[in-house]
Amino acid sequence: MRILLSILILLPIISFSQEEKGLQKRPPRPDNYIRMKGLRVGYDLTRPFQYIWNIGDRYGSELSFDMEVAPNIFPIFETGWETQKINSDYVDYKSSGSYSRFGVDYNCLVAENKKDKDILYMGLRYGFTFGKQQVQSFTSTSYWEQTVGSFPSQNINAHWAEMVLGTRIEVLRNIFLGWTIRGKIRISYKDYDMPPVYFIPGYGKASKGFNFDFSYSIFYNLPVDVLKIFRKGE
Amino acid sequence: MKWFNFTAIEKFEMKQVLLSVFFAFVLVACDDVFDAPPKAFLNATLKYTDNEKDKSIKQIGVSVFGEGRTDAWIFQDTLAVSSSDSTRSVLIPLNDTPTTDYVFTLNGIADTVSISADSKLIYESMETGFYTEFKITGIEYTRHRIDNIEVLDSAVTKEWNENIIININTLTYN
Repeated sequence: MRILLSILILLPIISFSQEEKGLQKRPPRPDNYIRMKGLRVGYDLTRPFQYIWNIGDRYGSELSFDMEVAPNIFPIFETGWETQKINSDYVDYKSSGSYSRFGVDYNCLVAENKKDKDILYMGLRYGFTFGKQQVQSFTSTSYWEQTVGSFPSQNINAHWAEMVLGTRIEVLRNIFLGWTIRGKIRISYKDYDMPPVYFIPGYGKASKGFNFDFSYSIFYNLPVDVLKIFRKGE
Repeated sequence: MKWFNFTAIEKFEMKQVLLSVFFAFVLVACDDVFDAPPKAFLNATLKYTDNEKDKSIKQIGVSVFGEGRTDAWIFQDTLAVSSSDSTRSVLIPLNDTPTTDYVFTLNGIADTVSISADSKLIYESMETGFYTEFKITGIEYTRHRIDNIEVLDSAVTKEWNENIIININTLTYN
């Protein structure tokens, strides 16, 4: 499986370099048609279970909406909320908020026929969030008295960009499954002196300029040709 | 042309990858381990003022009590001293209050040391928490066994740098 994943990532790079050597002009794609008509709604199955592979109690929920507006071009909007809690002997922390991302995916997988809706895509996203964090209590033990304290709630906001590689495979009619791997690059965020922002909903650890993430989603392609409706209205 | 030529990958394999990736990530599950926050200690070096005195008394018996506390921070500790060693260090926690008072009992004779310091809360990480660092602003002490105290570094941090030297008077043993 690891080999296959590596091939998936490296294939475009190898192909591209081979093509450059030959200095040949790339012929147009044979699948120059819209294969998926209508809006596709997705739900990220991994967001509620992030506590499994992250420190503390991290969970959330995320929906996505994408549509093929031009052959192999899929504008996408993703929105959700996320909570990160850390409850240890020393700190009781909570950060939560809603976030959104919009961007576009480009499908690299050539369709075998007009019914073939499977895609392997690369995409870009712009993400932003509004949330709150609070250190509800902290404790520091000593030979002397324990130091106990708390901080009031702080508003946080942040912006970031994402590079995405993913798949969407039709497993049943109009029902898709797909994974993504994502590299998130922090653009800016509102920080505080004490305590600093620890967790940015939708992005991850605030102190890191780059965060890696992945998702696994289920999608339903609404069987309504939205573009056709728009065209009729013109 | 080859740029788009992903159809070479069998659809069957694609679907296998799709399903197995999810389970692979779930298997990466790990337990949370939260470390305690670091501690800032005042590092005090005990040293005889007259280093040429009888070597046998250089084994300093040290007890350190916080003023008002019944339990000792250090109780009759001589283990860290070798007969050839003329100094030893003790790590002392400071209180968040403006002044921390300790009673140092050095080979059976007690001295009170009063350390004034400004405190500052430090964020280590959300996984470990917060701790307090100090800046020594003044030291007062009695002079039964203590000859004088030198401040080398006023910053009391988690690095435990050498902060003060407590010079001990050996004359009482002559």
